[in-house]
Amino acid sequence: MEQQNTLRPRLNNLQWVALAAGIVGLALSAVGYFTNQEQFFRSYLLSYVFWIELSVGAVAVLLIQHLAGGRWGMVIQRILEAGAMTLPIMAALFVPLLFGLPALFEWARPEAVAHDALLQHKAPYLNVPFFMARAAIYFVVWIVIAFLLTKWSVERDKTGDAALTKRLKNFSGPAMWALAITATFASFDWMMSLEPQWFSTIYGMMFIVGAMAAAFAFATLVLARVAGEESLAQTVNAQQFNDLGNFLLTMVIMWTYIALSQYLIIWLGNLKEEIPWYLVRGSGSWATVSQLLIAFHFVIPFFILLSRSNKRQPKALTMLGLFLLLARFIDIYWLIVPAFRPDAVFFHWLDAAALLGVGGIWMAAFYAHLKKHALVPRYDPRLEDAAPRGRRAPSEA
Amino acid sequence: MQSSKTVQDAVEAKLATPVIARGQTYVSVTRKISEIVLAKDTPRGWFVGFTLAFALLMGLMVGAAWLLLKGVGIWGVTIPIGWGLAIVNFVWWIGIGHAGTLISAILLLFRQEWRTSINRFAEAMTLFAVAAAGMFPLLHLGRAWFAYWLMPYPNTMGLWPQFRSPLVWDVFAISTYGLVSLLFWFVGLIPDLATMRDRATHKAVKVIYGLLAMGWRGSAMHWHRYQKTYLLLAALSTPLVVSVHSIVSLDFATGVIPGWHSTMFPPYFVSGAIFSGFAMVLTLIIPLRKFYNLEGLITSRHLNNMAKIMLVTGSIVVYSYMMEMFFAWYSGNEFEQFAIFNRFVGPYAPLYWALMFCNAVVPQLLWFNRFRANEMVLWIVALVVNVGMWLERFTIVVTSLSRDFLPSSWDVYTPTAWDWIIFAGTIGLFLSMLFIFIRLVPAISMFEVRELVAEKEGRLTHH
Repeated sequence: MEQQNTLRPRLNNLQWVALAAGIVGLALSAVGYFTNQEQFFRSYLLSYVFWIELSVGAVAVLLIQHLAGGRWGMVIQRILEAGAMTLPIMAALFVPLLFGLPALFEWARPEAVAHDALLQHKAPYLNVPFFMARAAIYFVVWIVIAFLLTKWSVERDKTGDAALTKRLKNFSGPAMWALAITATFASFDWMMSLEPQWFSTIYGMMFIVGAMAAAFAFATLVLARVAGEESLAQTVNAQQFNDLGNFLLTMVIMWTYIALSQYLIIWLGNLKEEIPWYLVRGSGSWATVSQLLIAFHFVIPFFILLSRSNKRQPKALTMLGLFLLLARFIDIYWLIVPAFRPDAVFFHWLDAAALLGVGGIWMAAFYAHLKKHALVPRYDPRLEDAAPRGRRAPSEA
Repeated sequence: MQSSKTVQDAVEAKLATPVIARGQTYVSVTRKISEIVLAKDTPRGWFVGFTLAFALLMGLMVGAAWLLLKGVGIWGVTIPIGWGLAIVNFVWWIGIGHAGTLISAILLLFRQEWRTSINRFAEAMTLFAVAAAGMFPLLHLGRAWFAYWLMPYPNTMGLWPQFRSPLVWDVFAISTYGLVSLLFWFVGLIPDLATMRDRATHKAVKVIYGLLAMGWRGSAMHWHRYQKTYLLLAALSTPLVVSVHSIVSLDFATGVIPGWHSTMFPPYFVSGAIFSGFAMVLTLIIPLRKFYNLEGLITSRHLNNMAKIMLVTGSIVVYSYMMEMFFAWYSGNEFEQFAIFNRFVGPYAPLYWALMFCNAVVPQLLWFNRFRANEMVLWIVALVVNVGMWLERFTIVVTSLSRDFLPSSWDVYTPTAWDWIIFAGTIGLFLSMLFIFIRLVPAISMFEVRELVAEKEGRLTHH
């Protein structure tokens, strides 16, 4: 594709840098495995969840943009596809976790289950073979969805067949259902069951919204970085950034709404089976992380995104995307780590190593896919709708 | 094979109808809409409908009067089921109102131009639904004349409401919501009221519309300020629509009654509200557009889009049902397990299964283009969802209260005739106000539809 002359070498370089970083990170993590096995698994789970969230979120946003249409979706479609196509390698990276289940999960330790009636009650769901079988199902569902969406969209680029647009749309509705259910239970398995006595019915929604927020932030960030490319200059304009900024704002608000709902209901109910989860996160140094989370995941991005000019500047959006990804990390850290370290905030060098390791591989897979196809779909009904709208859009005011 | 292909094409063509039919002009739009109001003769069908609705409304008057005389004892409520039909109806009506705000405010912010020809009607529906809803908590107080105690005001008794209770948040949320909805609706009406003033022939009619139009002349300055105000109100309404039903859900969720205390309640209730609200819009608008021949302004595209929103929100509702069942087991809490088990096989089980049929099974028809293109199917689905959402609220309110922690305090709630009369009465109130609205005010926003016509013409000349 001659139109990507300047971009291709850049993506190539980035891919190699990411791959190198990933290998270094994983190698360091491997060293950590031999020095501190328990910590290795904890750090690995933390970083794995952060990156898999991005992949799952990419699939979710991809489905939504196929269903809803809109040019904002077209301009990030390829970025999302590349994000979704990291899933096969992420499935492979999941395997190490299977060796650390007893180290991570109380319910996977037979001696713990033997003394806990509640864990025995939950054993039909929380047991090692079923956990593995479920994970296999999640990955099959996600990979099939990601693969088909990408395949049809690339095919449409070649043939321009309108039937493919229809197929993408018809497939996306049921696929959204499949994704919602699998992502919900994945969040129960990989995160919520770290504290197996605790439960919250909103947890799955919280994970899905978090994943979508991460995917939107990441896609906006990447688009802002490549928008200057010739191949994109004609299709991407301030209006699309404005739309994406509005989506980021929506995601920030939705996350806050869900987090607040959970907190308010548990706080007001004050039941002994629920409240410990917040007592841990509200005491000692964890309270600081909670406050940081409110500031980083709501207050700061909310006020930045209210401004129209911020939403129309690629530079501002790049910073904001990075900032939101940081907020996502704090959230996941806040959800996972207190299960291991209820007393105080705890960082280990392995956290950074695993984050770099899994992240490097993720980014390498992402770039590998991104460079394969045109950055904007070549045949998309939304391309024809390029004429500027007659009426001033209300949200521009 | 060939024929099924053509049927499919016809369905798709129907669903792809533009938001405004071909051949509409400024004049045809204005005439069509304003004539419904300005026509001298009221159609016979209007009288028939209004009479029926008004008869029900008279039932409400009698029921409310008797209630104030005798007290809430005339209802079936008892201990432990202190929240009977009144609260069921309250939640149901408030939910119905949400579609109006969603259409008028959120879809405006999302630049969905198809909202234009249904927003006025949906907003009116919101107002009347809030009026019907607001009546129940007041009547439920028993001594309704002390309702003002719910307001925090300095008084000699040193009496303040409990600010930590969602029931008090309800008072603020609903009154704010009602007020902003009214403002939004009225502000949206002003340019059209001026059109009515200009088109009216009768002197008195001219004066009345003229007063209501508040001196609107349609100058550029007027339009400029108008649009700013309208957007501001839309931005104000958007958080309100979410907050109201979230707070209603907290009325339940902060109680620790089995089946009520669930962190998912706020988004679950908001989705359910929008689901039922769109069902109500479809229930009303499908016959309305037929009766007044408005198919050119409220097209299959509108019905299709509303059906799609029902499908999305209905899916979230079904997802919530699934989570509820999973967590009843997963929590390991025997009371939560019993609450669900009690819904499955307890005394109200038939209502529960009816609700599942109405909300989880029937709406699945909306996945298919064929059914979304068929008004009759759509109307029936919408009607079924209305019933289903009412049953859902009944199940939530009554089954949990009737059998909580202590079997010795279990009881069964049976609504009395007065419960039903008052419920039917609020339907009468709602419909009577809708009939009056259709007769006195343009039910479709004329100036916004004209804007659509202008946009369409603009596009045609460009190509």
